[in-house]
Amino acid sequence: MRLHFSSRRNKSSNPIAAILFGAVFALFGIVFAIFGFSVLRTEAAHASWAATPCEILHFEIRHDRNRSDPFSADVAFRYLVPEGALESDKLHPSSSHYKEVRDLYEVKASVLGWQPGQPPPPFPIDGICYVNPQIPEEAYLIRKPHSWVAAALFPLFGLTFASIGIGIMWSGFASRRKGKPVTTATPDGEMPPKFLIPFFLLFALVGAGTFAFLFLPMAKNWMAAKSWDEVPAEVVWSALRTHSGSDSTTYSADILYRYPFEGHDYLSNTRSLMSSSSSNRSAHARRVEEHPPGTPITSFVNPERPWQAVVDPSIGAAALFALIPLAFFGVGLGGLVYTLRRKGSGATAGLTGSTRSGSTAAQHPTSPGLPPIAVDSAATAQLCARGDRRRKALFMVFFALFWNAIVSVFLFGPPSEDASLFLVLFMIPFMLVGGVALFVAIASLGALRNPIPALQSTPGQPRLGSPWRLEWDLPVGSERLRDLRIELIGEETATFRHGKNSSTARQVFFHQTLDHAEHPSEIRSGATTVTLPTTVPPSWKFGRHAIVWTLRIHGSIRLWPDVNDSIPLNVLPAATDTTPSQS
Amino acid sequence: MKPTLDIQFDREPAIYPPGATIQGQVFWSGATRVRRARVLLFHQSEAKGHKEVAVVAEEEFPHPGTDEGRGFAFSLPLGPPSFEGGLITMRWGIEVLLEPGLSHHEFFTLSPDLSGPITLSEPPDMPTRKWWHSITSPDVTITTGR
Repeated sequence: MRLHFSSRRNKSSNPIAAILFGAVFALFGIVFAIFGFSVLRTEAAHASWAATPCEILHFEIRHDRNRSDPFSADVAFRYLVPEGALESDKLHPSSSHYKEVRDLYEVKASVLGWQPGQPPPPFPIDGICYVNPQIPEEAYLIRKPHSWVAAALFPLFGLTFASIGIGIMWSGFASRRKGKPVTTATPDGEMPPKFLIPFFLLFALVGAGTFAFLFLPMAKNWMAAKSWDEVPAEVVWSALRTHSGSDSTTYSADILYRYPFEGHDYLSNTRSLMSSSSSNRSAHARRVEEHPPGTPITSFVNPERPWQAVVDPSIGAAALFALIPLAFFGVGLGGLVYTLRRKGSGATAGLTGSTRSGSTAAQHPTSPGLPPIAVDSAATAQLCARGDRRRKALFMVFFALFWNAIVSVFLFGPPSEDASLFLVLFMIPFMLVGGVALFVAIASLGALRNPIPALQSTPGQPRLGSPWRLEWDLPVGSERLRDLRIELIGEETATFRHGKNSSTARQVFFHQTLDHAEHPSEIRSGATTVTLPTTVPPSWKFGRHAIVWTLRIHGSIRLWPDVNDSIPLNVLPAATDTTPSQS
Repeated sequence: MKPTLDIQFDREPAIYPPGATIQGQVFWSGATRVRRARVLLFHQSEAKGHKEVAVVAEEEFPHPGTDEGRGFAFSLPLGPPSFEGGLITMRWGIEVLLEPGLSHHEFFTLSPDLSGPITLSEPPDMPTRKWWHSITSPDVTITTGR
């Protein structure tokens, strides 16, 4: 006979739905990947053009109000190839138009070696251009920054989504192949960890990456903008921009203004630190009407990079959207932890079996999910709730600080043009959550100062049907307690999934008050011996189902957080004639 | 002829105490081809339609024929016992698998109480819970997202 431990979960699931869902997912990913590879190929081709010395003859920033990307560079450069001297006016290999003029200023500064605070160097300027080795007449001056990253991300995302889709399909096909057997039935339509882990990892990375690249630079700029110079400016033109999305159209007011700084005129069309568009067409149209050419306005200029300027240096209500990536990060991280814990619990079951089968299981094989028997399970063991309290307090303090730090950015930042009743109403639930979190964190910290009962369990792992002795001692602080209640609880727990949500249900099947002390001397120390019945199940956990035994200690303290500790117990099955006895 | 599979236990009713040995016979007939024959000891927990199945032990029958009767024996673990709770129902079973494509299982009871599976119910002396306890240790914890 061969012993082994494996698991299967059954549930009536529809494999056809899984296959179709997976196919759509995979198809979407493949199309994305194909598009990405074509972009990557074009980028790679342009990257292979030969770097050649050139003379930049001029570089002027042009703007065309009627374009949605109104800014372009009027550039000319001369370069020498074996065929002779040639000229080109291409700034980039692909489109050379920009939506934000500050980005074009950055390119200009980079190409010309223009140092902020100094006048632009006189033309011609020596530089490097990139020449097509096949057609020397084709040349460009600079690649768009980060074009490689964008080009590489497309196929990466596409391939990841395609893999997940194929995984879902594979899971669906596998479930169709298997028949009715209980022990070899397919998992209940859920993806195995090898697919879930990369899925959730991707989710968390995208969330963290977007937060890091979107929110953190914005917050940094916002902090820096407090010291930017206030400079009078004049509107050059203003236009209402339309942004057509897949399911809605949004609008924004594009206002180009000119401002002098340290003897030079600069252009900017950046209104605030966070670009914003919305479906409220009339509000943006009104803003455009209020800013006809020649309107004097006030701008705030970054003295270190004078082409960076804004009209409104506050962070604005639109910045709230920058918090959305945190939700992605949370879902990804939560899913990852959940998947790894599930995977871990399966491994524990296997380890449990292998540990026991070498010793007592020679007579009685164990089954997956039973707690491992400690080598010194018969000896006295110390039980302590200190770690549980610290974990709770640490988590709550971290959560309260993090949450309230984010919320305070919006509460204590400079008033924004967008500050409105909507913003105040929007923030109220976030502030309430922050307040409750702070209260719970303070209570958790207060609970750290509560007396910690020293508990002794004999034997260390209680066994059903055998006497179990529990001793407690409160050497310090017992006088603060008005009473002390020690309870032993046995619960069934089951976790269910409903779409993207999961819930854990609990059902108590055993409750025994081991002691309820009200006299100070009884609170300070005591002992009790109980024999757990054999007609209840021992501790056990497998998959989403578990039998959980817990020692609960509750002590009331006047005007202070109560002692409220839970200590998990590993209750072993009842002994038989062949089970090694515990002294 | 339609193939048939049957499992017979050495006890009637099939109730075994923890640590006992379960024995029985597996019969099959009418199979056109049997490449592999196995018998498995498993437990199955079920809560609101969701099942978790764990294979505890397995025995393979060498050189299986198309019409056979084979004996099996497994040492049973000490737990978990068969029980019917408010949330979870735990059952033990024996399954025979003939490859390709034939299977059959029968449940038995693993219980210290030889009258049947353990019944779990909420104890009558449960203390009344304060409303804030439902926040710190709720009866149902809902997690949004996966």
